[in-house]
Amino acid sequence: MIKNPVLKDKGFLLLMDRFKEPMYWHIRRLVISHVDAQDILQETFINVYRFSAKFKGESKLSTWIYRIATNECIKHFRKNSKKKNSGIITEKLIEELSGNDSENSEAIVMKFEKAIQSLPEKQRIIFNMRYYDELSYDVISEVLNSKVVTVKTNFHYASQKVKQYLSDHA
Amino acid sequence: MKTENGFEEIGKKTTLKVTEGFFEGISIDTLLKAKQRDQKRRKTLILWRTIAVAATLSGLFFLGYYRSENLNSEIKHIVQEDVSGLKSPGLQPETLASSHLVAESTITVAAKKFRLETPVAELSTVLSEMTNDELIQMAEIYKNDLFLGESPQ
Repeated sequence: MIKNPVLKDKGFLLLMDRFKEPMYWHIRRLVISHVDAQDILQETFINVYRFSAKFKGESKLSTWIYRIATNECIKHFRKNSKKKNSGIITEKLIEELSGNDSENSEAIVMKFEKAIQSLPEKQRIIFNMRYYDELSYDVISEVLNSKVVTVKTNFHYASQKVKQYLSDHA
Repeated sequence: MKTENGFEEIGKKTTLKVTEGFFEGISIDTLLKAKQRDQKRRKTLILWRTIAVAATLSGLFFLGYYRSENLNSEIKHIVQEDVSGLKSPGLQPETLASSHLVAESTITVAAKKFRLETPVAELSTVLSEMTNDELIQMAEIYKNDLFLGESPQ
């Protein structure tokens, strides 16, 4: 429907309704900040609208959208890492997690999120996609354009590091 | 969650929050932004295409002009060289100009030299590329030249 110029807008809205929430949370878990997540989510779907005609259907639509969203996140990380105060930004993000600690949220969840945030970029992306979105290794490798073995290895290391962080901060 | 991680007790709980109603308006807002960006990109594309066509056309025009100018000056140069070569101390320029024979021989020599220096294929290409006006102009050069043309003197 989205490929048809007449029905493009309607198709786009249907697509957004289907994927906006999972994509938002995928992005939000990676960038933490709501404002950044909102911008990246919009940028993702603007790209979906722009390149919808080029989607060949070689992969699943969800995989394609995941790839666009993840690439936008990576672009965001690169942009932030170029800034002189990138270390301060990371600290602020971790603080933001602490700021979200309401009475209902458990301390362990917060610690867990901090542990994920402390992971290297690639491991963090893989861990989030595998743990929260429950994507298969095949899909993750397709999204990140890397080998399944690499994805598995990265996930394993990420899990180890998270466990280590939790035991260190117990 | 699968038991492969050992994080079962945590599950998928998150401390991250989102404002209520955030997801309601975002679809329309994103669609409007996407359409706006699409229009802007199309305008830019049209502008660049126009610039590219204009640049190509002016490039072709100047190339044609440059080539015709070069050809004209080359012919003039050859003719002048040969006329000076035919001059002898005993003959006055008026005598030479009035002589059909000399004029004809000069043109023949010039043409021969031009033919020697320019390959036949290239010459025919050059001539075929020349407009009628340019050919007439070239003929005028021969006619009006003091030493080549059919002067009344």
